[in-house]
Amino acid sequence: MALKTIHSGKISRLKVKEICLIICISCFMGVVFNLFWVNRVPFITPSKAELYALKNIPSINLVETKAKFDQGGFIFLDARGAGEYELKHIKGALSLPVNHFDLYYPKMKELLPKDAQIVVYCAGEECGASLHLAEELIGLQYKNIQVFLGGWVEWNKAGYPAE
Amino acid sequence: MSSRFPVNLIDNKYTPFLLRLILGGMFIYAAAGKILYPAEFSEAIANYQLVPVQVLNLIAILLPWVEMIAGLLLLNGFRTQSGNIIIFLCLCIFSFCAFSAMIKGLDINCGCFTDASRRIGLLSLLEEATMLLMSVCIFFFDKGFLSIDNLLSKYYSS
Repeated sequence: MALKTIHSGKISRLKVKEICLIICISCFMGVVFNLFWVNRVPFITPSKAELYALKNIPSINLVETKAKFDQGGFIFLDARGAGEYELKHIKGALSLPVNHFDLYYPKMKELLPKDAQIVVYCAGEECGASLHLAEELIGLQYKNIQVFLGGWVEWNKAGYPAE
Repeated sequence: MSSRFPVNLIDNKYTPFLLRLILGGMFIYAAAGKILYPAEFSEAIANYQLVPVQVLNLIAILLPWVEMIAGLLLLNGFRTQSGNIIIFLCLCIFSFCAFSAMIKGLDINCGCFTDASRRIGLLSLLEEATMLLMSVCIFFFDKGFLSIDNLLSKYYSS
């Protein structure tokens, strides 16, 4: 009973104002840090479609991607990390993790002719890895790059072939 | 063996102190990776499909700092209970997100630490539950051993 009284006393002494103040100070530090940090990001996230339109990179939806998959002749590139790729990926897709592009690309160069029809994807609608990979490849004079906006999440949700 | 066993395993000054070090340390470690690479954390949040796209970056910028400060407070024992409550709230949010991802059947990286291969699953839920339990133990049993709070109260009372 005594223990219970002590504990209920602790709960009643909770300093809500202090907790709010700590959270506010933390948020302020986050904002200031993001203004100067080398890996800073915009405060408001641009949508993926907006980013692609800005950069003139062609993007395709799930239906178009499935049509290309069924048609054949397209190389699917998974821009996620190797761990995520190994767990499951679009059937027949190759792994080219954009975070280790310089490490993986030389090994895959032979499989990726410059005029190949390539579809790039990452985790889902909001991930940025496919955009970065598409930029890297376009920078290397690849001509037929398209990005599947929905990525792995949409493909998996639709129950399309995976391995 | 005391009649209060197993409560006396926790109800002493050393166990809550150890829990403070572990939980505070884990939060600092987790927050550091997210602070250094906000874009990756933003993507990890996006994978949960719980919040509007526009606020993803804002959460990725602010949340790790709340984790970092709360972890530091818990570790140093300065405003221990406030830091602990913030950590408890964070853990509740993380558990809800993990649970919702499991219900939706999302096969995604949990984004808990910087290790990209950690997946959402029963194991990650169990981790969250363990940390929640640690936080509750600290709340009820922490005696302020080796804490700044204790030093300050001694200083002001003398």
